[in-house]
Amino acid sequence: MTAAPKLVSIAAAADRVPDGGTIAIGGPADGRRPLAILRALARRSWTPGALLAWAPFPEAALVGATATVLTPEQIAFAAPDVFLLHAAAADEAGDVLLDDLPDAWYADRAITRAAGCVVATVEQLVSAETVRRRPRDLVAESERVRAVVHTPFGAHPLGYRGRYPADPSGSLAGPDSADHWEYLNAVGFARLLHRCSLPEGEITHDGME
Amino acid sequence: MSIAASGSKVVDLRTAVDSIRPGATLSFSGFGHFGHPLAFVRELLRAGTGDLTLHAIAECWPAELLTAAGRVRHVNLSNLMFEGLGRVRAICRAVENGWITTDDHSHLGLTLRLLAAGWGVPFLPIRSMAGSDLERIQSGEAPKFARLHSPFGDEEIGVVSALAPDVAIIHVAEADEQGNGIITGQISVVDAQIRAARRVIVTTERIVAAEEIVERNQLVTVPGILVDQVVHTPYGAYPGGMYGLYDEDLELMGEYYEASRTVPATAAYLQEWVFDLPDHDAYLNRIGSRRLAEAVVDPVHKLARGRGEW
Amino acid sequence: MRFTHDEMMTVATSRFIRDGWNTFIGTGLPMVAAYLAKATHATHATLMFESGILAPEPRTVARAVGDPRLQSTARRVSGMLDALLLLQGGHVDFGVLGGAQVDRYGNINSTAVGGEGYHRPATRLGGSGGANDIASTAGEFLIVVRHSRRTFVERVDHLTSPGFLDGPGAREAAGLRGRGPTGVVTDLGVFDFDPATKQMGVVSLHPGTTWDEVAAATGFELARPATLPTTKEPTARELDLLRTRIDPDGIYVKADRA
Repeated sequence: MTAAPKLVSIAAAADRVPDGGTIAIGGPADGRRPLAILRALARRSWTPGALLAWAPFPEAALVGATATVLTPEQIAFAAPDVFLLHAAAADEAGDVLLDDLPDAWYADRAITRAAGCVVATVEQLVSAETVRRRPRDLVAESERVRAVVHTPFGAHPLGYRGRYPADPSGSLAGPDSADHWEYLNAVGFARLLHRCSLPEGEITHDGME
Repeated sequence: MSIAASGSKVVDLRTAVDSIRPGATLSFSGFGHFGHPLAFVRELLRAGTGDLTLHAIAECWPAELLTAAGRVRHVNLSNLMFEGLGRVRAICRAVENGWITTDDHSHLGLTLRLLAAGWGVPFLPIRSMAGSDLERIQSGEAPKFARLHSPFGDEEIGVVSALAPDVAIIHVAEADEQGNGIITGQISVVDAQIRAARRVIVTTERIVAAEEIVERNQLVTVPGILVDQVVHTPYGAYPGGMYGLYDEDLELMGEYYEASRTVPATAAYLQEWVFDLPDHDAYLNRIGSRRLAEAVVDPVHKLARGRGEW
Repeated sequence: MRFTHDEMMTVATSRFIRDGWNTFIGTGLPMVAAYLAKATHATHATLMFESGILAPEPRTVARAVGDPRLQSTARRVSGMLDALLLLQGGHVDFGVLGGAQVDRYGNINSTAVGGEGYHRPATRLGGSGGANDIASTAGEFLIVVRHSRRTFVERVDHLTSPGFLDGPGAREAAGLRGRGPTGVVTDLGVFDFDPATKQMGVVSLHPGTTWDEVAAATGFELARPATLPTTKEPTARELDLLRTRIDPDGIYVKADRA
């Protein structure tokens, strides 16, 4: 019997998050929150039971809820049913890699270990060999992962430290869209590409003399 | 003026393209289907600049697209073909119809001509090309090959004459604002091109802070002191690939290859993918987020997913 | 075992690559042949590509000389100028070249065919690339082409890459290095060059090929030798390596999988 594939569309991943239940949210206060999957959950009119986060999470408004802020240890103790995590990369099997500062990394790791399962969105898909060569970044082993979705700029309009800055011109809900690709196209993908590939601060355009 | 003190060379794409005059001689980066500054080429096509001469060792895509649009007068070349696809049909058609002239070299021959110019010497010795029609048929603006008697011994040796393009346009993976550029992977003949050219324009996937360049300073193929302008063009080699970053888009390249069978289909392709789009961002938005994101390569395999390897 | 023309050509090509040699390779059938040689009798041969890629170990068949499959698995990656200077400096033992036309002296045309010549050909081709460099300065080189009257011509329309030019002494007079072409492999047989006259001659015909077929497919006079050996067939091991490991999808070498 073959198991259902873990790498799925964002709508399919949202379907795997049950209504009600205790849902944990990953990521620090200043970025890397799983906003793409929250938008997908809002599209299917999802209602959580409790929403737990280890850093302030006003973006819970996307699903018409408020998050309770606890320590990572408290969240782990609460044994959430599903952990929504936005991370760096994953392979087809569902192994998830994360790059972040130690406190944020270990917070998300602690919740991964305690949660019933993980639904992960990632900036990039990678090979099993890449996962094999980065054991220190393996935050969620595939056995713990119920679904993985490829969502570049998945934290938008928030930023992702080391990858892209927050987008001040982006509203939280953003433009109407059927999935994350449509969302990115509506927001303007070329503009996002520019902003993530420039150093922080202004670039001077001296122009032609 | 030290590099650290020199100002930013960053300009927008249109400004850089407008610095190319009609009748200029150009040399572009790239090898196979990777590393060509195609965002720049499309903008150059939109600008209408023509009567160009190209020094093309193997940079097939810029030469083919510019020739297809009728912007080229003469090509000094070594090898132009679409590996894995077939002939560069617009160039072949232009030669067969007498619309452009050419002067053929071997890879080493044309590269050493650029290097001679870059090294400030009138010629460089070479063993290739001797005895062949590459020596016998000299159809460039100036002679390319001669035989000399060695001043240091009793032998004859071939020499190739210096050749300097007006502008070299080089696509890199990352560059600082002063134009110090890193190309990930093989550099083709960029080292010869940037030394030979009177001006160098760098288009880059990312503009980075100086400390990122310093960290990998032994990989800086393009020294900023040779660079005049820096342009930020994410996915600037698309639909070709950029090694280590994104893979070639076989389907989109195949679309051009099919269209190139006839003059009308080629013109229609250029209209749709170049002239109907106002700028590079419009091109990227037309390709769309999914296709561009799915072209990103795996860090180990350096291939996109779905290429039969991972 | 049954085998195709492609497989016979590939195996025959691989036999020319000696163990320990530095070998310049392009894509296609010659690359498959090179990896077959490395997997059999030439385990210490080093493959080099004109793009500056040294000793790659691709996991799947590479599609181009600049293919990421080669670059990502190479011991060293540099550039084309570097690779070609190693070649001219005498560090490359062997190369494999193809082309549109070949003459009796192993001169190759990959530039222009027919019409009014170079300036207005009927068919413009890719041009030399590294081929002229390899022919001029590699230790020796092998020519691998399909056998037809269109290819094997009395006189090449354009001499892109030098074999023996117009005969004995010509390479030396032009200052070329290396031994020049030392063999030709086609889908009909294996050929070499007479040490005295420098003209192409028959070494062996592939199994199932007749002399008349070869003569009919050759546009210049090929002297019929006293004996006509048959090319040694691919071994079961060679075929298995080709079909299951090196080119399992038959991208370059069409296999007989009956």
